[in-house]
Amino acid sequence: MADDEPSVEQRLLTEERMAAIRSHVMALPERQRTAVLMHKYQGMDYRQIGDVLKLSESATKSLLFRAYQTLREKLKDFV
Amino acid sequence: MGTNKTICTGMESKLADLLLDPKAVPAKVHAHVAECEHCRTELAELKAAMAVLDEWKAPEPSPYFMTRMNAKMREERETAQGSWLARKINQLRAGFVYGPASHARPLAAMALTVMLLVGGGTYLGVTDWNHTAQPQPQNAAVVHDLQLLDNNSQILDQLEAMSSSNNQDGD
Repeated sequence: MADDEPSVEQRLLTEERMAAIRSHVMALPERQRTAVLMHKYQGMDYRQIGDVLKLSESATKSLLFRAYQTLREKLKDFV
Repeated sequence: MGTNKTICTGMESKLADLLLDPKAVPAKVHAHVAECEHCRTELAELKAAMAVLDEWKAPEPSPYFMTRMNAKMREERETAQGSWLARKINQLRAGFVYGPASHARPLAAMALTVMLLVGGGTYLGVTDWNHTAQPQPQNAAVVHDLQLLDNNSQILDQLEAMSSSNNQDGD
């Protein structure tokens, strides 16, 4: 087996980490979750997100900031 | 600037700007964050949390999904290149299924008209297309007998007239 292949333990840890990230993102309030998914995984900026969610720029920034603050607390162990 | 538990008062929106759109943030905010440990730490932790999120990627669709998707697209393309009638039928079907309800109004009017015609026709007995001339009802036996009697009486009258004329000639 090549050395650069992840071991079973590493794969399990990675999977656990992914599952935790996913569960914490999905546990966000609906609008925060939508905003994070659009920002982080759809590559949309906050202006585009504001258009989709019918929010002002400042409200969108605030929504995203609160979402990332929540995730920072939840993902503290993974940082 | 006063401080709360983690960040300085009024810095929340500025940190949001730093996190989401750092180019639009004035230099004095950058300077404050560089000097203030609380704000710097907060920003660093938020950036770290965002970096952690990068690890989670949406799963790729399975090959089976792509096969089905490609087959569906091919089918749609072939339908689109089909006969004129097929295209028209598909357009009508799509318009009926996905279009606004107003598209159905002419159809509903036609259906209502046909229903009224069929219903009214049935009521008036017009729809009996296999209608054949009904045979004239046979004369009733009584009428037949009366006609015979009438004929007989005429014959008798004629005979009586003949016999009476013979008698007069004989006299």
